[in-house]
Parts: sequence; structure tokens; C-alpha cells
Amino acid sequence: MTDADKTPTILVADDEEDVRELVTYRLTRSGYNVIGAGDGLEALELAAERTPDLMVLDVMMPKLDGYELTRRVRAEEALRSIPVILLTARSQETDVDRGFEVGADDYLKKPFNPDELVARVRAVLGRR
Amino acid sequence: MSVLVIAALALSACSIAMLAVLVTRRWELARRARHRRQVEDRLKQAALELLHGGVEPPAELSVEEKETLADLLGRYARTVRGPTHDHIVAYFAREGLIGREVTVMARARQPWRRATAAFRLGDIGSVDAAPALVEALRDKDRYVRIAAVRSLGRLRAPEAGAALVAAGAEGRAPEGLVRWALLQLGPPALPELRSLLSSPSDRERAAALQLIGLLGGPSDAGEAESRMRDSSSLVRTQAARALGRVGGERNLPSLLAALEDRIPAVRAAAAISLGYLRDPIALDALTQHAEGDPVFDVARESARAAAKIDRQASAARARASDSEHLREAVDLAGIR
Amino acid sequence: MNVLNELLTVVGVITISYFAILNGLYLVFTAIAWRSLGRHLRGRAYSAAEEAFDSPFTPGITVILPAFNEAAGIVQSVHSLLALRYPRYEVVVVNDGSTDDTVARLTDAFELVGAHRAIRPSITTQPVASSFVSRRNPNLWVLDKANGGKADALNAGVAAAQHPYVCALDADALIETDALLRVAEPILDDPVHVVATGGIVRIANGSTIDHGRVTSVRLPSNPLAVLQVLEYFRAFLIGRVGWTRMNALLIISGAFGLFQREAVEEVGGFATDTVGEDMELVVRLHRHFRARGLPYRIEFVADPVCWTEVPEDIASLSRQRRRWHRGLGQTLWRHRRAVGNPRYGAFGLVALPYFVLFEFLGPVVETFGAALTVVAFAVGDLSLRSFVGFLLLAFLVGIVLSIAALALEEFNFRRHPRTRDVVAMVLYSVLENFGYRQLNDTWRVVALVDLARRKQGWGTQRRRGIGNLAPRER
Repeated sequence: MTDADKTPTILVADDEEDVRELVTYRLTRSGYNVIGAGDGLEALELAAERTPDLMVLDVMMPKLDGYELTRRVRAEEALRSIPVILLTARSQETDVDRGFEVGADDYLKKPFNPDELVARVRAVLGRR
Repeated sequence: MSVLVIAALALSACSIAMLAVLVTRRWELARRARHRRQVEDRLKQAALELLHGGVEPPAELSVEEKETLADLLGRYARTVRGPTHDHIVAYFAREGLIGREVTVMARARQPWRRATAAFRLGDIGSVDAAPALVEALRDKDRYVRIAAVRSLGRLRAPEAGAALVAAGAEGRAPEGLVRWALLQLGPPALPELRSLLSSPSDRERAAALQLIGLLGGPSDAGEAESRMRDSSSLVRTQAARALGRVGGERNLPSLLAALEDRIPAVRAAAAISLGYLRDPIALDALTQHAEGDPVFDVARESARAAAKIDRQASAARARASDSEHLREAVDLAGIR
Repeated sequence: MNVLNELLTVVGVITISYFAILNGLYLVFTAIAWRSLGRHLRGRAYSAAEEAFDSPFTPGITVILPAFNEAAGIVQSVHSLLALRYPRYEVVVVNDGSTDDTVARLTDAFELVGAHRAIRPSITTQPVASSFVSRRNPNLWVLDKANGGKADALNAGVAAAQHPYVCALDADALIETDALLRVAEPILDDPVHVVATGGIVRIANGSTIDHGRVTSVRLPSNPLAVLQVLEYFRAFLIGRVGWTRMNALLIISGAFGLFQREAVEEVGGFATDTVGEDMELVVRLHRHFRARGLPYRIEFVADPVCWTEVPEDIASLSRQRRRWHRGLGQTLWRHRRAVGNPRYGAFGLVALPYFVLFEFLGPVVETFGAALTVVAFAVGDLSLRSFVGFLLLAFLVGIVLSIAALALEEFNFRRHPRTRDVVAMVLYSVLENFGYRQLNDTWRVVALVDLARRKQGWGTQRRRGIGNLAPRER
């Protein structure tokens, strides 16, 4: 229980259950503490409540999309410094640009390589 | 009268029967969905483990469980790449499922079964399935062909390049989808695409140029530039677009010449590319087109390109000439 | 007595043949719909929508949202439009001279800033006074123009559109997230020939709406709304699928339609002098291409969904239906020279005559039929007993056809998750034949009378077409 404090908590938000499960399983196995949300609003609430160490957000989500969610997180004092990795279904330049513009730290294109996700998570967490 | 009575009774009976069918069908479907969900929940852990570590699933699975597991893995396969995806493919190969889908795709009588198989192979198959999918590009059912194009793109099978281009140009599959698939093949598709530049069909030449623009590099600029003199405006348009991506300073004169092409689409493409290249030398020609080109889209693209190259100068010019295209482009550049 | 008898017989024969032909046609259409819907849906599981979403080759769409005094819902509508799954699109809100704070609300919610927007001279509209773009998302534009009606607002959107396709919407319609991608499917499949497509309109009354999405589908509690649910199934699943097969689809709902921009510009945009501008445009497109012998397609797509609220009280429903019928009349009158004209193929020979005889004049025949039934009973004419029997039979066939439409929905879409909703719908399929259909016919006959007396808008715009959906109507 004591080292639960040291284990980084990652918030995973995706409306597709399959993806959420997959990411959760992989990150849990890599030793992270994972909490999941099924839409953007739920993710925002959960983030405010638990202040995760990192967020992996899908871009296309109901209620609040990944960009808007990132923007709101960046606008909130308590959450501002949480790193964000966006999962996008497209690799078009404008999408990536928009992701970085709203303040995402990194992005990954779907279909994604779970090993790469873990590597990016490590890198972003280490960067801080 | 009795005929009417019989007809009335028959119609009433028909309505009641339809109601019964609708309700029973619903119950049955709900029951099946529940059952399936249960089986799935039971197998999920095993599927996730297999996905990540390549651990064998329990051997004593029933037929139904095996099907559910395959379905689950197929869904996961769509969202992952890399070693995780390889684990899934390895599982399907071990179980002999890839071979089975290939057989179904080639032989099944109902088109939708062939289409399902062609579609699945894109998720669970490996490049080994590519030759069979190339065959399926000639299936007589359009949906099967579409599924095959998609799967070839997903599998990134470089040897499918020529067959894909042909399928698109002959109208066997939607051209947009074919180009998407070719884009997935990546640079390995380039030799095939380059050889298509001398195809007698202008649609094929145009498609090849478009993809070379997206996948190629500076070494393709010369070939693209020589296509700026093609007799087909489709080809000239794509050549101009490609030069914006693979071209450089050397290609500016021919892009500026294309800005004066007779065909508006070529002029618009040249404007866009000049915007990409961001060389101030093009500024004057672009602003002139922004102000005076008779075709709306050409004027708009020229203005956007001009604002991209030099926002300040374009703004000054917009104030002086009151060109609505320049004003729009400058305003838009301002918020970006 | 003898004269009356003869008259009754003549009207009787006409009515019976009318019902026989109409129901025969319905049967054929139902059969066509069963066949082609099943194939379409099976096929679409393998069509490459995900890939189209990922592709830079998918053509861009300008989504046009005309808004007149929509302050209450506009921000939510725009939010959900900006969340559509489509690779390349812009949203152009056309504020049609609202007198409320529609623009102010948009400005606050999306950080709008003034920006000039170039507008094509191809279609003339009321002047656009100013335009704005969102700092948050440069794909959101707002045009602020003088009031000119829904058609005029749409035209302004078409003239300003930067993409090759335009999607016309109703301000209060809700488009499902993947609907744009799906309605564009025929265009992705055959961009050269397909010039317009439309999706299905479903009724949102009774369902739960959360953040611009319908989250759980329920049958409305209002009986009038339930009856309309059944009506919409018939109209969309049976009618439009069948007409699409003949490439003679005359209606793409104004709530959700996708058009090739150049084609719309070429025929001069939406007509501002009719209350049925959605149908009128589609008819004009058909005429345009058929007259020139150019190959083209106009298609209904059954799975992209647009949710809409329908009137729940008799007065608003009656207003809506009378307006629809006037619109139908105006369109048919304007294009009367194409009716029955072999030059126009199936569109001129089958679809237009069908709309004239059965949709437009049909209510008269049906009303006469009903009146005759009453007279027959009053006169006690024996020979008329069998006529009444025929009418009863027609009712029963009507019921079977309603249920068949419902079954079509059930087998292919199953959007209503509760079994009790389905049972209720079957019961309503029976009930609608006793009262609702007659009521509908009456409204349409009233609309015919209005048209004949040129009262209330033959060619004049009585009110704005936006908010087609009567709850908003005054």
C-alpha cells in the first residue's frame, strides 16, 4: 500500500471499450496504476478528483473531445502540469498541429503499437 | 362476400404472425447477446494475455469459445500494430484460421461470406495472404473487391501496388480507397508508381503523381516537373501539387508558369504548391491572381499562398486593393 | 336516386382502383426495400469507412447550419457538429438576421473574431454584413446576414463554401457522429456521378439527449409523435429506398442532405419562393441532368441518422403538414412540364406522376372514399356493401404494410431497444388507420383548397422555413 504513492497513476480516456481495456491492461502490466473514463467529461471529472500523473486521451470522444479536454486541463491551475498523450485516428498534419497547439505533450496514431505507448509514457514521465 | 371475409381473416392472421415473429426474434437475439457477452467476459483475460505476452490460451476451448476468442482478437487486431499485432496473427496462423479465411474468400458461394473473409484478412492476416487478396480484386462482387483493397492497405503488401492501381483506374473499386491503400504501402510502392508515369491512361498517371508527391522525396521532383507539360490537365494538376511537396527552388519557374495555365485546377494546384514552398519570389504573381483571377477557387488559393509566404506584405496589399480573397487569407492567417 | 347511384358507382370504382394501385405499388416498394436494404447493410460492414476517415483523399464538406433565433440551442448544435467523424470539413453557421443573441452566444462559446470571408457571386442572396471565424477552431465560421429565409441562408452558405460538397442541415437537427461519413459513402464510391445524397430522419421525442447525442432511444409518450415514428419508417425505409433504385428520388430531407456544390450552383441554388425548397432543389437537379442527358445519381442512404423533434399537438402538426403539402404543390406546379414527360425517364414517367396522383391528389380520393362509405350506409345500397368491404380490406392491407415497414426497421436497424416499444408500435400500426390517416388527408385537402385560392403563400414566403419542426413554430 505504501508504494501506491510512488506508482504513477495514468488516466486513460477512450469511448471504445476494447481500446480502453487494451491500454489499461498493458499499462497495468508495466507497473502503472490505471484509471479509465469512457468520455471526455468523465475524464475531466476523474482528473480533477484524482490528479493523475499522466493522461492518455482519445481524440474522438463523446461530450468533450481530446483537444477540448486538453485545452481545459491546461486552463485549470491544479491540472495544468499533467502531461497528455493524445491517441488519434488520423496522422494528418493539421491534427497533429492542433494536438500540440492545445498543449498535448505527445501523440500516437491509431492503430498503435502498445510497446511504443509504454515507451512514450516512460519518456514523458521521465521528462518531468 | 365470403372471399372478402377470408381475405380479411388472412390479413389479420398475417399481422398477428408478424407481431409474433418480431417479439420472439427480439427475445432470441437478446438471449444470444447476453450469452455471448458472458462467454466474452470469461475469455477476455486470456485474450489480453495472449495479445501481450504470446501466452497460449487454454487448450480445452469449445467451438463457441474459440469463435468468440477469434472475434475478440480480431477486434483488438484492428487497434494495434507491432509485436502485439504479430502475436494475434501468430495465433490465427497456428489455429489454421488464416488459411480457412483465404479458402472462404476464394470459394464461398455467397458474396457476403467472401467479403467477410476478405475483410477479416486485413485484420488478422499477414502479408502471406496478399496474393489471395490480389486475386479477390477481380471478384465479381463489388463489396468483396472493396474489402480486398482495404485489407491490402492494412497489410501493407508492397507487391499489391500495380494490381491496386489497375483496380482503381478500371473502376473496380473506389479510387479514393485505392489511393488510401497505396499510401499505406508507403515508399516500397514507389518503383511501381514511377513506372506508371508513362501509362497511356491519364487517370493512372495522375494517381501515380499524386501518390509520388505524398510518398516520394526530392529525387522525384525532376520527373514531376517533366509532367507539368503533360497534355492532360488532370496530370498537370497532380504534377503541380506534387512539386509543392517534393520540389524546391529549382521548380519555382515551372510552378509560376503553371499559375498561368489555361485550366483553373492547374492554376489552383500551382498556387497551393507555391504556398508550401514559401519563396517570396512567387509573391507578386500570387497576389495578382488573388486580385484578378476570374476563377474563385484559384483566387482564393493564390491569396492563401500569398498570406503564407508573407502575411505583412499581403495585408498591405489587401488594404490597397480591397481584394476579398487577400483579406480573407490575411484574417485567417492571423488566427492561426 | 338513380343519378346518385351512378355517381356512387363511378366514385366507388375510382376509389377502389386508386387503393388497388396504391397498395400494389406499396407492396412492390416494400419488396424492393427488403432486398436492397439487406444488401446495403451487409455490404456496409465491409465498406471502408474507417479508411475513408483516415484518408487525405476523402473530399471536403462544408456543413451549413442556417440559424434564425436559435440562441437556446445553437452552441450545443455547433459543439456536436464540430465533433463529427469526418476527415475534412468546415462548419458555416449562417445567422439569418436573428433578432435574439444567437451570434453573441456563438462568439462567447467559440471565441469568434471578425474575419473577412470571400463569397462566390454564383448565387445571389441577402447581403452578408459580417463574418467571423473561431480562434479555437478555424474550421468554424459564422456569416451574419440580413433575413431572407432558410433557402436564402443555405444559398449564402453554398456561395461561401470552400469545399466541393455542401451539407444542408436544420438548426435543431441532431446529426449522429458518423452520419456525415456514411451519407458521403455513395460519393466516395462514385464521385463522378453522385450529385446528392440524403440520410434517414428519426424522431427524437421521448429519447434521451445528452451533450448533443441521442443516448437512449425510447418511443415518445405522446401518441401523435408515435404515429409519426411509424410514418417516418414508411416514408424513409420503403419510399426512399425504392425511389433510389429507380434513380428517381424526389425528396432529400431539408434536415440532412449532402450536395455537390457545383451542381447546386449550376441550377441556381435553393429556391427562395417556395415553402418546400428541399424537394424543389432535388427535382430541379433531376431535370437539369436528365434534360442534358448527363449521367448522374441521387441517392438515399438508410443508415446515417439525423434526429429531429416532431410536433406533439394537433395544431402544430396540422400547420406542418399543410405547409409540406403546399410545398409539394408548388414544386409539382413549377415542374409540371416534366410530369409524364418521357424525356425525363423514370423521374418524369413514374416518380412525378406518382407524386401528383397519389401524394398530391390522393387525399381527395381518400376523403371521397370515406365520405362515400358514410353515404353508402345512409342510403343502404346493397351493392355498396361490397364496396365497404373493399375499403375494409384496404385498411387491413394498410395495417400489414405498416407492420412490414416496422419489420424492415426491426430486422435491419433495431434502434428501439425496448421490446415493449415494438409491441406498442405494432398496435399503433393498427390504430393509425382509424383516425390518424383520415386526419392527415383532411389537412392535405385543406392545403389543396388553400393553394387553389392562392391563400397563404403560393410563391410567397409566409414565414421562415427554419424550425420546420413545429414546436418552434409560432
